[in-house]
Amino acid sequence: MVPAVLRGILAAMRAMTPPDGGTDEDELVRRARDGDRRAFDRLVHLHVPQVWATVWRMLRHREDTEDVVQDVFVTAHRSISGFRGESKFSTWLHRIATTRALNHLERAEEKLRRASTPLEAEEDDRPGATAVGAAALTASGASPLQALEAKELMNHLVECVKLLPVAWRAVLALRDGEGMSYERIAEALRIELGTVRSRLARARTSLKDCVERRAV
Amino acid sequence: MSEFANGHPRDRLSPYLDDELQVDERAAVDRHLALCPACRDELEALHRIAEAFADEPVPAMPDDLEVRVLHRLDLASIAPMRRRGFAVPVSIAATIAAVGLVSVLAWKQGRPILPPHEPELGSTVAPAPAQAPAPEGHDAPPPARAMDKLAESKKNEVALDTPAAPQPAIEPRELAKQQTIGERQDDADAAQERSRALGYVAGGAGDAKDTGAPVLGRDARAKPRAAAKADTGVVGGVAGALVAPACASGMLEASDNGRWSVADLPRALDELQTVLRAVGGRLEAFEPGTAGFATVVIPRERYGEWIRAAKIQGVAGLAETFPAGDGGCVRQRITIVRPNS
Repeated sequence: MVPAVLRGILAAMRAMTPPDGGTDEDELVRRARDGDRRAFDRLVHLHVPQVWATVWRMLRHREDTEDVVQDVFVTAHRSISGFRGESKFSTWLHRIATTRALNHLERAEEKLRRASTPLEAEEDDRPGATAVGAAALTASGASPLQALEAKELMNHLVECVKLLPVAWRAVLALRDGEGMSYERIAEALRIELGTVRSRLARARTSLKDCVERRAV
Repeated sequence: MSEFANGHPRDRLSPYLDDELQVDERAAVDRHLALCPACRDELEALHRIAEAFADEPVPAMPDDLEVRVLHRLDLASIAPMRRRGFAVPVSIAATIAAVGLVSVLAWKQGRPILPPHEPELGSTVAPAPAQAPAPEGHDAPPPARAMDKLAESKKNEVALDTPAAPQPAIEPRELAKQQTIGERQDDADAAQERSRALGYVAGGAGDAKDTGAPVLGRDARAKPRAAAKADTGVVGGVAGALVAPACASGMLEASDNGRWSVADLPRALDELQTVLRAVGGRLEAFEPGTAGFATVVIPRERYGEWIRAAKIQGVAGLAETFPAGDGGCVRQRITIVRPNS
C-alpha cells in the first residue's frame, strides 16, 4: 500500500505537467534536453515500470534491480542533452538500461556466484556448430518439454535463465520480455542485426535443452 | 537434397518464430516444416520457451522506486543545474550534502564542527563550498521514525510546503531561464518532500535492529557504506536560522546529558540531524572520539518534543524537565558510544 504522503507527492508531480502539451513524449524529451527537470521527472514516471521490467529480466535480483534502475535514470539525465532523437527515446533508454545491467552482471562477483557449469552453447559461427543439434532433431519422439505443465516449465526456465551468458539474457529480455523488433534490439544494444538473430536463437535453444534435461 | 546445411534449418527457427526472416527464407522454412516433424516439434518447443519467458511474472516494482529515482536526481542536480546558468545548487538536500562535505574535512582533522553559515530559508545562495558535488551514492539524511511519533503525539509545527504552482505557459527554454526564486524554491521544497517521504516507506530488514531507525531499502543499506567511506560529518546549518532568533534571549544549559549507544555513527548523526530539524533545533558541535560528544541546541518551547523524540531514537538519560533560568534555547550534550562500550 502506498503511504499517503507518497501518493500526495506523486499526485503533485503529475499535476506539475505544464498546460502546453506536457503529455506529448517528444515535447517532454525536448524540454528535458533543454534542462527542464520537471519534464524529465515526467519521463521517469512514464518509463520507470518498463525499465524495471527489462532490468529485472536480466538481473533477476530485486535489490540489484532497484539500484540499477536508479543508475539508469541518473545516467539518462546526465546524458539527455546529447540525445539527438535519431531513435525513439524508449530505445535510447533501453540502451542505457541494458548497458548498466550488463555491466552489473559482468562484474567478477557475479561470475563467482554463477553455477560452476554455466549453460552456454559455444559462441561459434562455424556451420558445423549446430551439427549436434541437427542430429538430435532426427531422433524420433517429441520433446519432453511439450509434456511439461506450464508451472513446471516456468520453474525450470527460471533456473535455466540464470545460467545464460549475460549477452544472451539481454536479447531475450528485449525480445520476449519487451516485444522489441530485431532492428530495435540491434539499435538498443548497438550490435549487428545478424548478432541479434544468432544470440536469440542460441539463447532459446540453450534454454530449451536445459529445460528438457531438467524435465527428464 | 536439402536446401539447408546439415539438412535442417535449426538456426532459422527462432527468427521464423519472430517473423524476422526474409520472404524467400521464410518460404524455404515453410517447405521444410511441411515435411519434417522433428523440426515442427523443435519449433513448437522454442515457441513454448519464448512464451514462458514472456509470461514469467516480473516482481512488482517497489511503490517508492519512482520517488527514490527522483531523489537520486535531486542529489545529482548540482551538475545539471549548471546548464541553466546557476552557479549554486538550489536543492536544500544538495546544499546540506555539499556543506556536509566541508564538515567531513574538518571532522577528519579532529576539530569540533562549528556551525557553518546559515542561509535563510528560501534563499538561492549557498555557501562557497557548495560548489563541490555531493559524494556519489550519498543520500540526504532520511527522516527519523521519530517523525511518525511526533505527528501522532503533537501536531508537527514544521509545515510541509505546498506543491509547486502551475507553470506559466511560456516557451520551455525561456521558462528555464526565467524561473523565479519562488519556482526554484518549489523545486527545492519538492526535493525536500521526497527526502522526507522516503522515511515513511519501509524497505528491507537488517539495520533497523541496530539503531531502531527506519530502513529505506537498498539506498539505506548502501548509504551507511558510502557514509562510512566518506566519514560523513555533520551539518548544523539549515535549521539554525530557525533557532538563532530564539537563542537571542539566552541559552540554558541542560543539567542532564544524554547517552546514546549507536552501531553506525554517520547514520546516527544523520538521524539526529533530522530529529533536530523537526523540532527547530540544530547540532551545534560534534567531537569525535572513542566516546563522541554531540552538542545540540533546542528552542526552549520545543524542548519537550525534543526529549520525547530523542528517547524514541534511543537516547537515554534525558529527563523531561526544563533547565532552570531564563533563556530561549537549551544546550544539551549527548555522549555517543558504541554498543557494549
